[in-house]
Amino acid sequence: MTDPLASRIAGMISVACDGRLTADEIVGSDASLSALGVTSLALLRLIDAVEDEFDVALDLGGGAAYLDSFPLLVGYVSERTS
Amino acid sequence: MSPGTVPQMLALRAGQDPEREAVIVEGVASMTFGEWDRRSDAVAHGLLDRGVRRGDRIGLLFGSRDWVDFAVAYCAVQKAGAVAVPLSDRLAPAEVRHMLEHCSASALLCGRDLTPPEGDRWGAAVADLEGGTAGPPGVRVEPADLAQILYTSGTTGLPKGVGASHANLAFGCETRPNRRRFGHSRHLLHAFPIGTNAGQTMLMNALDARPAMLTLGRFTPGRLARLIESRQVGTVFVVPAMAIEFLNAGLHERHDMSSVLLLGSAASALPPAVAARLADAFPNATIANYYTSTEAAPAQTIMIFDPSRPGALGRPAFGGALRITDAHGDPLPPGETGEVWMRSPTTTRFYYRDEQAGAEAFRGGWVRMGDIGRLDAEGYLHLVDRESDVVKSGAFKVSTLQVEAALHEHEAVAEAAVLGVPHPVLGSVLAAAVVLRSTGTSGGDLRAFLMDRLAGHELPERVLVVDTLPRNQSGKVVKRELRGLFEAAATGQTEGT
Repeated sequence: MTDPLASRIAGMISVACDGRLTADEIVGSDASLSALGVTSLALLRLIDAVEDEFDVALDLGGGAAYLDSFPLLVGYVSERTS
Repeated sequence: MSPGTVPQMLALRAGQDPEREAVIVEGVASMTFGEWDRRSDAVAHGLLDRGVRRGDRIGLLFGSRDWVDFAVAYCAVQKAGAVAVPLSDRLAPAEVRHMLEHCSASALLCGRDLTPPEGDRWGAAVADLEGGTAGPPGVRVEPADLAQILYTSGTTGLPKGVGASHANLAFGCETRPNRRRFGHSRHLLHAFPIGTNAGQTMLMNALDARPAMLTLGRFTPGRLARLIESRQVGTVFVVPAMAIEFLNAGLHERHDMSSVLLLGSAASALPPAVAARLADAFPNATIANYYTSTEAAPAQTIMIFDPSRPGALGRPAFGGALRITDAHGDPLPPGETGEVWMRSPTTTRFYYRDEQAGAEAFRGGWVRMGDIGRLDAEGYLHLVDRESDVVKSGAFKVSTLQVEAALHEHEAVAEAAVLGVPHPVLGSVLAAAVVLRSTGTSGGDLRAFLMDRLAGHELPERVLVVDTLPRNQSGKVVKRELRGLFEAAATGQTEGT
């Protein structure tokens, strides 16, 4: 069973990476996004995409722990949209 | 008379415009010139009370949310007669440690949420040093004194510390209120990181230009567009990568960009096709391209985009000079391709504690830019290529040697070669080919390993595991063939991610 929010965010990350990572690779990962190969360029695209679609700001200070893995990122967005 | 030091620039401006906003981080913080002067006085006292003495190097580790505190700390260090060493929060801990050790920094001032790396020095937040004595600290600071050290990627692997005197930084400062630069604007918006030459140039603009320096805690193209519209920003500085992202996202079609009268591009060459698209997207803006380097500043060329000279980078501005030389440093005539050299109109910068590299880069007032180019018949500069071993990725120069060295620290890596491969937005990105001692290590594992050692922009976007590296007879990796491997991999199967 796949969480629709997780699928959607994985798709957004894949687009932000110009398709270099597939949504499947992202959904199945628990490494940090940087280690996965999400570049800083892809990250800033992702921030805009998440702001546009969910109205969630991805960088309000702190150590941005939600970037430490894909599940943490999904959790962060989920908490702020449900 | 023009101020000869950075603290004099601030004191003068604070006297002229005490209530005017100087620095704004949108939605986070702002500061007037009066506050900037008073707070940096207080922090300078705090530094002196803790034993900081003239000429001491003080690291300043701040992220973009903390531009206001960074600006306070920067001037405070200099008011105490010490040397500011701006460091980006994007650096990996090992890089920060290397830089602080290289210049023997005696203290490190940090922005919020940042942890100082361990080392033989004390650390503090800006707020820890405020609240004591007020008023100017009374330390004599001379134009010839060292004012700042900025670290930049060099051709020999380890970052180089580029020293600049107050005279170098204060050069060309315009203090007459009716002559201030960017006089058409109330806000000058940029998103250059702290610790880069472009970022420092913006800080100098904050001190002497008319508009308030406006920046974002975290840049994204969408936020940039909304901010331009809501603040009716008149002057915007970007790197080409940001401009390309902005255009590709079509943000100018959803937001009103008519307030922008000057759009400056800096930190890497603006592709002509992008300049033409920018001219359409910003209907009232002059598109200007600035070319300089951490070593050469304030020498620079400025080019107002001219469709009839699409590839030109301009002619020397502010009294600097430009020449193209052969491998021996002898000038070449117009039209011939060679090394680009620039001459500073004031005291040149230098490599701090690296005379050998300095002798290579700085030659009798001239600075070797590390670029290959030519001058046309009218003296306009055109770039052809960069010298090897340094890749320009977005706003940053990256030493491929430094990335290779970090890869070699991984126990599974037998051989590593790093190069820049073309990228539609960033110009180039890093790609690494590695030969492993044993199987079982993925590209992701290697990137995770590198994250403690390298900044985000230095991480290879692409990691390819190969059986052998292409080498020539003398054993040197042939980067041209290596590039071919990445091209083949891009059209074939996925790499070792």
